[in-house]
This record gives sequence, C-alpha cells and structure tokens, in this order.
Amino acid sequence: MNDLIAALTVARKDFLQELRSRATTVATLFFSAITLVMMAFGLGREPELMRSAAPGVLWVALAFAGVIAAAQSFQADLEEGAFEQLLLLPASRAAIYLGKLAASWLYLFALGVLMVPIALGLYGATAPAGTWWLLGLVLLLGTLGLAIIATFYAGLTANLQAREALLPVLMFPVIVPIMLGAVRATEAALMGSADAPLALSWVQLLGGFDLVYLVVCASIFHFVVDD
Amino acid sequence: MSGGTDELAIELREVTRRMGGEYVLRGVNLEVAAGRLVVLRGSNGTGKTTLLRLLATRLRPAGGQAFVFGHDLTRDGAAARARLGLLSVMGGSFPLLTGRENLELAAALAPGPREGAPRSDMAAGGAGFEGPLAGVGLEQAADKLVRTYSSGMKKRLGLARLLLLDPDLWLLDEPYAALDDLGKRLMDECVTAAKARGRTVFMASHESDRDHLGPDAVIELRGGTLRMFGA
Amino acid sequence: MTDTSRTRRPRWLTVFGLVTLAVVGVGLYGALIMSPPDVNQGDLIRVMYAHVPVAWIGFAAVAVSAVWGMLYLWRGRAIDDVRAQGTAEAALLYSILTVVGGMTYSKPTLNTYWTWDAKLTLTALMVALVVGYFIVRALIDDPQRRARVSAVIMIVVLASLPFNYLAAEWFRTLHPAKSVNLDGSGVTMDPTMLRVLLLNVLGGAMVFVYFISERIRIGRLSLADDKTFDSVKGVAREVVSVR
Repeated sequence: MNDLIAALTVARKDFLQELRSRATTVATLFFSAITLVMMAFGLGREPELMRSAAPGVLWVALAFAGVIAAAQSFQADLEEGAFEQLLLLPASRAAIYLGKLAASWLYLFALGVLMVPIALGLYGATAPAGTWWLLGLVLLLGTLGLAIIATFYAGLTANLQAREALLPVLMFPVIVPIMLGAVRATEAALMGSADAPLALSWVQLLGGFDLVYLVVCASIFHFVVDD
Repeated sequence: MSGGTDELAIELREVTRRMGGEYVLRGVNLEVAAGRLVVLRGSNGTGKTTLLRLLATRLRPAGGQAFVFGHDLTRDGAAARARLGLLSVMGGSFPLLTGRENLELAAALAPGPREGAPRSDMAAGGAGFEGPLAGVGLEQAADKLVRTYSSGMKKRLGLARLLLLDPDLWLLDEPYAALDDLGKRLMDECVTAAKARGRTVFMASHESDRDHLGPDAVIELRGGTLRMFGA
Repeated sequence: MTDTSRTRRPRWLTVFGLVTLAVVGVGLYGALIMSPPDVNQGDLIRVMYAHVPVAWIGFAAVAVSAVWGMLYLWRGRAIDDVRAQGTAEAALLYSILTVVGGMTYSKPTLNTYWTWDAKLTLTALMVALVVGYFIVRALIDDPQRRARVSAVIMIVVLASLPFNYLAAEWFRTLHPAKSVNLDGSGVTMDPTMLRVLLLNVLGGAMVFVYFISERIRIGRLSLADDKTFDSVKGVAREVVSVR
C-alpha cells in the first residue's frame, strides 16, 4: 500500500517534470516524427514497399524515443542531487522504479498514439476499423516493454560516461523480442482481422516479456541505484 | 526515548571506501552518542562528502562496519534511512518542481508525522507546508520552480525539507556554503533547535566562525582517517 | 607476504589440463578420421564437431556467469565477481566463435554468410549483450559497484535468451529462408557420429572448465594485489569518540 502510494507519487513527479521540460518533450516528439520522414527517404517511393515497412518504421521510431525519454527522466533527477534525496526517503527502490516506469510508459504510449496516424499517413497504410483494439493492445504492451527496459538501463547508466551511446547498445539487443512482436502484431492489425490468431501469438510474446522483465527489473533495481 | 546517553547515533569501525578506484576513507573509526553536535573539518577532497554520503547509506562501505542508531548500513539501510536526513551541498531538490511540490513529495514518501517534531507550531498555516517554507524564508518563492532559485534558496529549501522530516540524525554537508548572513543565522537557529530537541547533528563545514554553536566536538578528516581537530 | 602455495598452479589443474588435452585429441581423431562423411554434406559435417560444442558451451557460460553474479549479489565476495567475469569472457569468446563458425559453415552450404538462422541470430545477439556487459565493466572504477552492476546485467542477459530465441525462431519462420539445423536435430544421426559429437562436447566442456579455472586463479592473484590499503592495517588508529 505504501509502495503503491510511493510509486504513484514518483510517477506524478516524473510526469510533471516531463510536462514542464516542454522543450525536451517537444524535441522528442519531433525526433520521432522526423525519424519517420527520414526512414521514408531511405526506403524510396515504391508504395507497396512503403506500406509494408510502416509498422517496422513506427516501432524503430518509438524505440529511439524510449531511449531518449528514459535517459532524460534520469538526467533531470540527477542534476541537483535530487534523486539522491529521493532515495533517502523511506520508499522501496522497486516502488521508485515502478513509478518512473509508469511515467515513462504513459509518455511513450501517448507518443505512440500520436505517431500511428503520422506513420500510416506518410507510408500510405490504413488501419481497418475492426482492428483498432488490436492496435491499441499492441501499443500498450509494446511501449510497456520498451519502458521497462529503457527505465532500468537508464538508471544503470545514469552516472556513467558515454551514457547516450551506451544506453541503446545495452538496451536494443534485449528489446529484440518486443520490436519483433510489436511490428508483426501491428502488421497483422493493418492487414485486417484475418490474421488475428497469428497476431495474438505475438501479443502473447509481448505480454510474457513484459511480465517477466517487470518482475526481474523491479526486484534487482536496488542493486543498480544503491552505490 | 529520544537520545538516551548510551545510545550511539553513529558508529564506524575501520570503514574504508574507494571513490573512482582510489581509497578515500582508509579505516575510519568514530563513535557519536545520540544528541551530540559534531563538526567535521578537512581540506577539499579529503572525503568529507564521501563520509556523509556513506552515513546516509548512499555509498556502501568497501570494508569495515557502519551503524546508525545500531542499524547496519550495509544490511539494514532502510531502517537507518528512516532515522536520518541529509542536506547536500546542492540542496537536493528537483529543479522542475516548485518548492512546495518538493516538500509535498518528501511528505508523501515519508512515514507519518513524527512525535516531538516541531510540526505543530511550524504547520500553523495548514497542510500547505507554509510552516517549513516560512521558517526558511521561502514563502514568497514557494510556487516557483526550483530551477529559478538561487543556490542559497536551494539550500534553504533543503533545510525546509529537513525541518519537515525532522530525522533523528541530521547530516549536513557544507550547510553554510552559498547562504547569506541571514541564511547562516537561520541555519544556526535550526541546528541549535534540533540539538535542543535531542537530535544528533553531524556537519561538514569549513566555517571556523561557527564556534558559537558550541559543538560537542570538532573532528578532522585527514589522510583517510579521523582525529580530533588540532590533535 | 607472498605465499607461493597460492601463486603456484594447483596440481589437480595441471593433471586436469593434460586429461583435457587427451580427450580433445581423441575427439579430434573421431571427428576427422573415425566419423563417416555425411550423406548430404560430405566432409563438411566435420565442422559440426567443433561448432556444436562451442555453441552449447557459449550459452552455458552465460548461465554460469549469471549464477556467479547472483552469488556475488547474495554474499558480496569479490572472488565471485572474478568468477563471473572470467566466465563472461569465455561466453564472449565462445559466442564469437559460434557466429564465425556458423557463418563459415553457411557459406558453402547456402552460398551466403548470413541467413538469419534462428540459433545464429540468437548467438549474434548474445555477442552484443556480452559486449555491453564488458563496456559497462570498463566504465566503472569502483570494484564493488562494478561487480554489482555487471552481475545485474548478466542476469538480464540470461533472462533475455529464451525470449530472443523465440523471437529469432519466429522471425525466421515468417521469412522462410532455407535453413539447416546445425546441431543436426530432426535428422537421425549415425550412432558413430553421435558418439563422436558427445565426445567432442565433453572435450569442449573440459577445455572450458580448464580455461576458466586458470582465469579465476589469475584473477584471484590480482585480487590479492588490489588490497594495497591493507598496508594501513595493523597501524593502531584511535577511535574518535564523542560521547
């Protein structure tokens, strides 16, 4: 109960910070959008190729945004030794991790909701109305997986040199299943409900990943932050 | 209950700690009874901050044993944390929150109001933390982002948090740095009042003109070990 | 205080090394001379005798390193970190060898170096994960923090293997590239071949054990070197007492 309050308090704090550092938030948003545009240039203009690439490009953009958002959230904390003060308060480390994770998840999910129409529009793909629930589910689980790993590794690299380069190096090989599952399930959603059973097996992979890593990361996070 | 003369607030036995591969603390032995005011001296880079962060459970000892109110800092850090508070050099507040929000955060995460805490008279203004904020002269700036504060104001906000939580052990890292004369007097008053309430105060400070605080001991960190100042 | 009994290689390790050499020799003989050529792949199948043990041991090494990391987190003994690090080095070496072996095997059979074969993809990801482990190790100066953080990373790496395996497997099935199971599973194996393979796995495992035993022995010595502040010990330091 206390842990729940602590997690919500930390989540609220992180979300406030995110809202107030408007410049970084907007920069991340535009970063994701510009990634979508750059990838379009990289792929050429063949409509069929573009359409089939849309899910992959969307999730690559979200993964990059996840890295930036998580690193940013710890950066803001570390600036004045405030994170240290937070760790001195009698809240469990798991609660602090879950709070930061919740804020980062909410942010990434909102970003995903914004990016889907942009990606679909730019790449000429359409989402049949009957599969929006699937798209929403994939966005929820996929961004959760990204946030779990990104928050964990951002905490781990927060006071290391070269953390900007290090974070994706550590994070990306771990999130391969998330990328793959989310991209395939998004693909299935865009193709219509015909492939729903296939999409659901990918969704199961996402769910399993989220569950296992949520438990693992929350239970070992204290080894990462306690110096 | 508070400050039985035999209870040790701080107990360090042969404590060592590296920072960046080099040993900064090379066998620190210290006993501080509860309710004492101790001033820690030492030139820059001798490891005063390291020692304070170690006492605050933020750094683990590499060797030796460290206890705060009998709680082993390595094994039972959470229990020790419940009884100590640290005022860091930078003040330790979130720059993108307001002063009031920073205190709200601390209050939300801290265990309920403490017995004997000066809250009753400080919280005269209600639940809005007017008490601690006014106590450090920040009532005007309470709803501004900490990012806009001067370093002295950040220090005052850190002090307000300490007043709010009122832990049994006050760890102060250069509390007078960046404070103006009024701020220094305020710090003096808070430290004296804390000691009067039976709190233990352990402060690292260069200021030699704070002797009127009447510390129970002035100790010095040199070469990675502690000794009485002047000895 | 240099204790020569600690610096000398223990006798059992020397004996073990010689036995390992013998097993590897017999395994080599089995692989190159005893084993019949494969029906489809001819003499190329002999690569399998080196490739499969190396791949298996690579994965085992990650698991062993993670277990030693967990032991460190639990007991906090520096030697467990030395063990975890030594095993992680082996994991890196073996997984790189697996990727290189897989690629050279893939070239003559499938005429391309990279096929997104599930096991090879998984191993390549493992190389990336273990490289990340060593980058972080290099960036942390404090030995205790380094040990803790790297133990945590290895636990995450271990947890990622089943997921990455599933992902790599499913990735391939949706891009149905022609794939050969390098470990020959699903193929009924000639009993001689199976015996030779198992012998080579044993030899490979013994090489691995020998390698990390030596590595841990050397690591233990440098650990002893590290205790420079011990020179301060023994000097009576006063207890500053404020009562």
